[in-house]
Amino acid sequence: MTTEDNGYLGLMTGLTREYAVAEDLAEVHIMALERISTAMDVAGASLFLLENEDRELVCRGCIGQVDITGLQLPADAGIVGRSVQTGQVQMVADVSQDPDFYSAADALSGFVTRSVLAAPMNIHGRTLGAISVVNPQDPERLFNQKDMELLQSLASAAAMAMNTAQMTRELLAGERVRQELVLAAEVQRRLLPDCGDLPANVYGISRPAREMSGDFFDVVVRPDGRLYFAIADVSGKGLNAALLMVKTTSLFSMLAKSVPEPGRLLAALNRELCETNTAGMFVTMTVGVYDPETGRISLCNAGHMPTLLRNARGRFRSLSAAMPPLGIVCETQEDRYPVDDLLLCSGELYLYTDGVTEGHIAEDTELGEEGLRKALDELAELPLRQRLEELVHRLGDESRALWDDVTLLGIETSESRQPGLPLYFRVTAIADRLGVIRDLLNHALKDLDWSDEVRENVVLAVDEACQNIIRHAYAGLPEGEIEGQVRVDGNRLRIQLTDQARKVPDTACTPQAQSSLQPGGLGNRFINDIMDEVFYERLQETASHHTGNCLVMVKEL
Amino acid sequence: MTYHVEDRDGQATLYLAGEIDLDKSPAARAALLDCVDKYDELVVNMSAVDYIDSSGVASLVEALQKARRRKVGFQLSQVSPAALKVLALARLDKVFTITD
Repeated sequence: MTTEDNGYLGLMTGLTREYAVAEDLAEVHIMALERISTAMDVAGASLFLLENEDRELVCRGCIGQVDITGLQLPADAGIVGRSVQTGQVQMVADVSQDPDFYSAADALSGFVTRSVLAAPMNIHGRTLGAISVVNPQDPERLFNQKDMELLQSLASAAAMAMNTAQMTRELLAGERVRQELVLAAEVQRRLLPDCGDLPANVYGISRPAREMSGDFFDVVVRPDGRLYFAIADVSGKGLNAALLMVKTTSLFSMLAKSVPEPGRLLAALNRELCETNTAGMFVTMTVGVYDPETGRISLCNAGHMPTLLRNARGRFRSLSAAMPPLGIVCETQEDRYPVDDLLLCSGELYLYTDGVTEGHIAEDTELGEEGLRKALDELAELPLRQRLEELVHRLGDESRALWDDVTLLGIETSESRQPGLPLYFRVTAIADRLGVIRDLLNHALKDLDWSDEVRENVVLAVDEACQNIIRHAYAGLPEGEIEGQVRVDGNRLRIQLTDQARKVPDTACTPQAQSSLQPGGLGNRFINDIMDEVFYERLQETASHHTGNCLVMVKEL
Repeated sequence: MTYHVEDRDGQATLYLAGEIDLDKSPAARAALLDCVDKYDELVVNMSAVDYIDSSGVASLVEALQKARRRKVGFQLSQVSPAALKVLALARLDKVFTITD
């Protein structure tokens, strides 16, 4: 290797180093051109890059008597353009003989270009632009083969150095974004409650599938000991979902202080979210209040996954959403969403996001609601915290990423508690609530000295009456509520069911003729056969409510 | 409510289990009517039915009526005490053919 070659090699490594540490690429272009022009002993040098979707060549660096920095040419114009289009070095000894020569710059500056050498900046089969040098300093000298080879090597080295510098910048920018995401994820994690501060009968987990999560849960223990809790899932994944989640969390914590009733809270939250342009995103959410003193639980579900109740004998009840997700139906005038107000019999209550049931327990196998019930049965002997941790572990661990954000919240009744008389309940008018009503009644009526058959018949009569409200009274109207009061009145059991639906005719309880085999009407026959008295009580009309109906059923003790 | 069907030479047994209430009777009704369409003889095994209400009974009645029209044999077997009480309350225990 000659001393000259060594010099050129040094020049190339110098270019690479300067591009690598460059903060301002334009400065490095100039520096590179100065080195090239010195090494090749030429009067001027310029660097053109393909821009605007490769339609134009723009001069991004220039040294010599004429400054053409910023000059824009069509991508195929001039000798530089020819070099870029062919991907080959172009050597023109006398530009006056070359029809492609772009003479406008000379005309403006008075500079006389004699000869041009232009080499494409090629890398990985792609051309970034070209470097051109003009007029050897020695007027007697013409560009030769060696100049061609040298400029091609230098242009390629510059292309590679520039490309590496660009990739490094992108990597660094990506790393900065990643670090910011890690910080944002940490902030989001801190929005979740610290379960260590909660009573042992409450536990929640939220694991994001990526850095940021669209899920959240919250549990607040009020000064009077009641637990206020919420679980929510924002549609979609990633940063936009996470941002809407943060907004929902903030709104929830703010509203929870002033609107302690779950139905009013969700209606208010819906109005707030509707006022924000959420670009088609929405939030599914369940909010509840649990009073460990009385065992009562109040739940309101807007489009969220069903709430799962598991009693001490392992029987599950699943309560589906009564209302659509938040942020969708904005024109509703409702200031309160329907609520389920129940006595939580000894057992457990689980709220979860769809990342749990749609989570994969094996390749292509979703957990599903049935799978969730099975898993909760299998893990029933574990303390609540370990039970939920193990469940989430089954959906993803160090070796298997989570399919979606996963959030689970569990509440256990702290002591064995059974409903008795008098009994009060309020449920949303949905068929899957009937099982819960039957469970409550079956327990409560055990206070009475009745045979199993009589008790089961009375439970059937109440079930049938509630069905009538769901199917006929509320038919075609948005989901309403059924309120039940069961108490002993002298030597009679009095069951009162109230709704806010349209008024039903007084003949609504007329039983079907016994000879008929038509489906329908059978429920009324059950009610009339089982109960000793069945009648409607007049309700006070209010401005804000439908009149509603109040059905009273009496059974002699 | 869960169900499954066992088919033995054109005679099918539909096993219904759990609670057949307003929430679940649409699924029971669909299974019953589907079996009446498919088989010449249908036995509805109700040994594991914990609870049935008027909507569940109505589904059985509808299936029975369709079976009669299509001349499909239709009987209930091993009806659980809980379900039998409700059929009796509906005065339908004599309308259905109930076997042990």
